[in-house]
Amino acid sequence: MAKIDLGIYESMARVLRASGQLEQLTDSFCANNSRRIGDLKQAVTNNDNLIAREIVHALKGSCSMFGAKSCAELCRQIENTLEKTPAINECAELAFLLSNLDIELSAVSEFLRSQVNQQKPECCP
Amino acid sequence: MHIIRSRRIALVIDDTEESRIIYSAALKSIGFEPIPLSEIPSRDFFEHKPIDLILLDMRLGSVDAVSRIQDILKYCSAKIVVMTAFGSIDKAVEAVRNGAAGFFLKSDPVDSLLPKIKSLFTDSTAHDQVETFLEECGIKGRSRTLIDLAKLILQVGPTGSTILINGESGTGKELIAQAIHRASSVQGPFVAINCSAIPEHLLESELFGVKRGAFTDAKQDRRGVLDAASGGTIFLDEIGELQPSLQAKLLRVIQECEFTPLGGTQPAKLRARIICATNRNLMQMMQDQTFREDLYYRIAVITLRAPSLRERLDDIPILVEHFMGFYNRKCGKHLKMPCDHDIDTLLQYEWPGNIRELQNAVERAVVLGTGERLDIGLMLPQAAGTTKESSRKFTLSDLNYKASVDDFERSFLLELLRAANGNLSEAARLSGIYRANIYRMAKRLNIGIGRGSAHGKN
Repeated sequence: MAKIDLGIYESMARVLRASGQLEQLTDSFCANNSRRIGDLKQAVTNNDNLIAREIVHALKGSCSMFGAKSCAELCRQIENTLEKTPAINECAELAFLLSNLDIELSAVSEFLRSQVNQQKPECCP
Repeated sequence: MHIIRSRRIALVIDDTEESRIIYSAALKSIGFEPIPLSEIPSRDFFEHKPIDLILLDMRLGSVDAVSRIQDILKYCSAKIVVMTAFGSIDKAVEAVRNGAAGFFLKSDPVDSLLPKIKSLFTDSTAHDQVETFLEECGIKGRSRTLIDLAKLILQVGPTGSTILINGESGTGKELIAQAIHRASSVQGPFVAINCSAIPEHLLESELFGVKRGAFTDAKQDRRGVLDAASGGTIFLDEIGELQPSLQAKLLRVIQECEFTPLGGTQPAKLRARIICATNRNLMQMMQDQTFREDLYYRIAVITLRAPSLRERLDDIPILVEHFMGFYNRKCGKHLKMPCDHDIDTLLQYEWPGNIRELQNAVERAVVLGTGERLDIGLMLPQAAGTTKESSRKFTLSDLNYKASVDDFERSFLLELLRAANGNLSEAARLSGIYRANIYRMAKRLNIGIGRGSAHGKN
């Protein structure tokens, strides 16, 4: 079960439902973060600390807005680890955190999609 | 709900697509025309398009946007609100120092951003005047509570009415009285006297003055504060400590607008405004018959409440920075602000002694500090177990209905969260209240649920 702060999610969803953009945003979140986690892993493999930090910062902001606090907290831990680790491609702690983030992000994406589907009228496919 | 009428133009500058979509939709809902951008535009752009608001992500890829704020403001008069993910509060404070109108945490509900934005454009001239006024008065902070108080001061200052300031110890009641004096534009002096610091028999002569020969030691005439403050303001601090005999005499002064010095026969005109302050519950004292009801209604023509530090959490980083700068200069030190986590801890602490306690804590940490940053271990050696979750108790707030309801809700919520071990879902199950409603209540009452969830707001 994804750890989502429903107060934050609902606040955002209200604004987006009013403008009819909730589905679009959910799709963007899922697609962008799936891409970002792939890019992040690649940056770590390439030992590219700067790129890795940029990606994880974007991920942190995106997760925060959706109320995905556990993901945002994992991102913060990854940022801290990146800051103090010179050879990031050899860091076991980082690999562990990335793996957890991947799992947590998948759960969050699944939860968000289910929320959007619940809101759809029954005649929608 | 107040809707901004004209179509103001807002830039939403963020390098993540989700942010741009969310905040553009939010701004649109309150009548703005949003322009989403992934980077700060050129000077040319600003010169050709009048921009009212810029929502600016603090970090755009590898670009530190905070360092660009001063540049942007050179060629654009927009209000800048910076956005950040959690954990960058010190950077957000730096942004405000660089000229940003405020900051917003992406981890806060998006609809809590909207009242902040609206307030920036609801009579923005008046807002600027209020901030300038606070600066002139040496009152530090930009919290909503403080701004509201300053607006009230500016409103009541010129009236000349007698004012009673209520508030806990250490909340800066004298500073508020000085601000009222400044807002009144009178030319005379501001004279303060603490009714509890002077023995009763001396207080009378301090207030009314003495004529030569009034008693054995009265070798010459001496002016009292009622006379010394002529054309200005008299501030009677701790009025609740005034003895009954003096209460009667003060009542007469206020009623008749004249007073007679000790040993004198000719009354003198009172030409000063009277402002009183107390941390006591004068309503209760009237019921206990230790404070005169008729005096109360004379001094409390207008009542202002000095907010406790707990009610202006947003101001804590600003106050810490202010006091730290002061004591750094005094001690020849160069300590930096505490890290975000430590600021969070300061926001969690109850601050029963309010700003005075905070000031003393910062002084102690500067004097004793040996590290690079202000050490909150030195600031809060007594804080263990006294965060607001653990120490606040329910009290009736001067029989003010809304304040009492807030007190009750706070007390209820703290008990509930304690019973649920801080777990929101469990708290919802125990209380039968929706989780989201508990969250909103906690936010409104500034009660932290877990670390970092209920503070750092602007």
